Amino acid sequence: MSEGRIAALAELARLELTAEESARFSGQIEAVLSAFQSLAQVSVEGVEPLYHPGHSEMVLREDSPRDSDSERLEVGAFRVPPVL
Amino acid sequence: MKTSMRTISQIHDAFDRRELSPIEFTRGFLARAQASKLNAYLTLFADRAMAQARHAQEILDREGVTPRQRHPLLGIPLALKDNLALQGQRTTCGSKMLADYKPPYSATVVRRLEAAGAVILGKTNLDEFGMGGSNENSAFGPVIHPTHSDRVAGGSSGGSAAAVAADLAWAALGSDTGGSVRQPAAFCGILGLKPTYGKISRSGLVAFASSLDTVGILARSPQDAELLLSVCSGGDELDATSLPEAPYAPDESGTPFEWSGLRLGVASDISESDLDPEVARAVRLFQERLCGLGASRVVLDFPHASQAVAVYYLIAMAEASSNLSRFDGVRFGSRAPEAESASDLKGFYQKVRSQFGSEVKRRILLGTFALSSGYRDAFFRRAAQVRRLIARDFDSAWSRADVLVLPVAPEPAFRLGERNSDPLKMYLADRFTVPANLAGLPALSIPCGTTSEGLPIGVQLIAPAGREDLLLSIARALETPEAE
Repeated sequence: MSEGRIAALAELARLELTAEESARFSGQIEAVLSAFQSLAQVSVEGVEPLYHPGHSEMVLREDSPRDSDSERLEVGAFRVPPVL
Repeated sequence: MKTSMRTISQIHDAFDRRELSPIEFTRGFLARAQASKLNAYLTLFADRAMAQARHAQEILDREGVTPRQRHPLLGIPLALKDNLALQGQRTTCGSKMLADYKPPYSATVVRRLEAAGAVILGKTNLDEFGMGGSNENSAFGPVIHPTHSDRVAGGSSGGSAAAVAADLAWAALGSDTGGSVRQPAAFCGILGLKPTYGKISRSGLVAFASSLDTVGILARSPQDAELLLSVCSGGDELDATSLPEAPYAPDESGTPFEWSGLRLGVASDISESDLDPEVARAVRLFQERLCGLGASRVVLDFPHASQAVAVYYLIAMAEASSNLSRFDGVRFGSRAPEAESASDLKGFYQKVRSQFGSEVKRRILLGTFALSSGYRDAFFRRAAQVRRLIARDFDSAWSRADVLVLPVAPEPAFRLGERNSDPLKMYLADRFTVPANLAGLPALSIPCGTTSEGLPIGVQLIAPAGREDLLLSIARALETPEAE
């Protein structure tokens, strides 16, 4: 995978890479993806993806408020440090 | 004193006879942990643990004997992997990103342990966010193997495994996303239980890959693993993926295990030449031992097993890239000093997120790729389709076998620094552990000998969903005199 492609992915993921990281990851990610190419050979025609191994029914509870991070809670909102 | 006891039940007997006090017991663990050079702990709670031990002592003094029903872990010193939240205490995940993070609540499992009377000694070292198999990806340095100082302790729950093996904790919790409890347990010579997906609540476990993550148990004896499982398990309304069921009930019947009905499945595609010769031999001898006791051996095909590592890593990395987006310096994650001077939001995020270590960055990049437009179907979706095929392979196996036997890792603990530059080689070493996570099945790593150099070797048992009882019955039965 080219360093240009790595840079594009890093931007999508909001990661900042050094030149050294970018060069190193490029070779390593290429090696990993080419080893994973074997997946393309598997016949998956009509197979539903399995995204989750657990029980399938959705468990919902009453949407009622409870104590949480109360130290930081002010007038029903969290105060955070300024971002910019 | 410590060498003669192997189970929590024996410790409680010693408490009851006043041969041992919870206070001196905890003090001994803290002293050893403080003097240890293994880097197994990231944080020790000396004062807090002693306060818990004193509280256990008060209960014992008041009741006369250990109230085992109400406080099944009374006075038992435990360690927690540092990706499990403990209210108000540093929870780092082995990352600079969370070096000073103190969660506002405790994980459900941690609350359950404390309610059962456990003493929490501290938080153990791990590969950053659980990503690694050697503990060398911790921002706070690697864990050293308890008996071979030039070797890794395994990972990602390396600190928990080393702490138990080196007698720095009686037992410990870890997390297992692709083998992170079983592999370090095997490397350090203890038991490692990865329960069925959803058996133990994940509420308060910092997420790595949500469809694969499980809280697991590192213990010295099957009896302890059962007891800990009974305390930790059971439905939890704070985790929508936890199984809505009662806690695990340990088998207290004393009925001898019936070896003759046991069908042992072995995978046809695992060749001994693919393994370290001493690991291959130990696993073979283990199978022969079980067959000698009366079990029968069935060879099974797993047509999609060769794809398990690719499927696992694509899914784990995709989920990680999504889960770790919350470390942005606003919701979670410390603000690197450079971030404060960023001129725009993107620059701010990038400076904050540059605190991730190499392995985490690599996985986020790969996960972002697997989910990106134009590649999602060929990588992430296809991986999930093959995941279903792997789960079906297991489903068919259960008609012919009760439990599967396979190695935990292809080789024993390797040398520190030996694998750092070759992530693919590290990933491929997970080939025997990731299938159980993909299918959500329970699996147990059991010590089964040592190499000529004295390095522990582990063997893995995998059972159908919900059959932790079978895994633990086998492990228990192997300790009886008849099975020697």
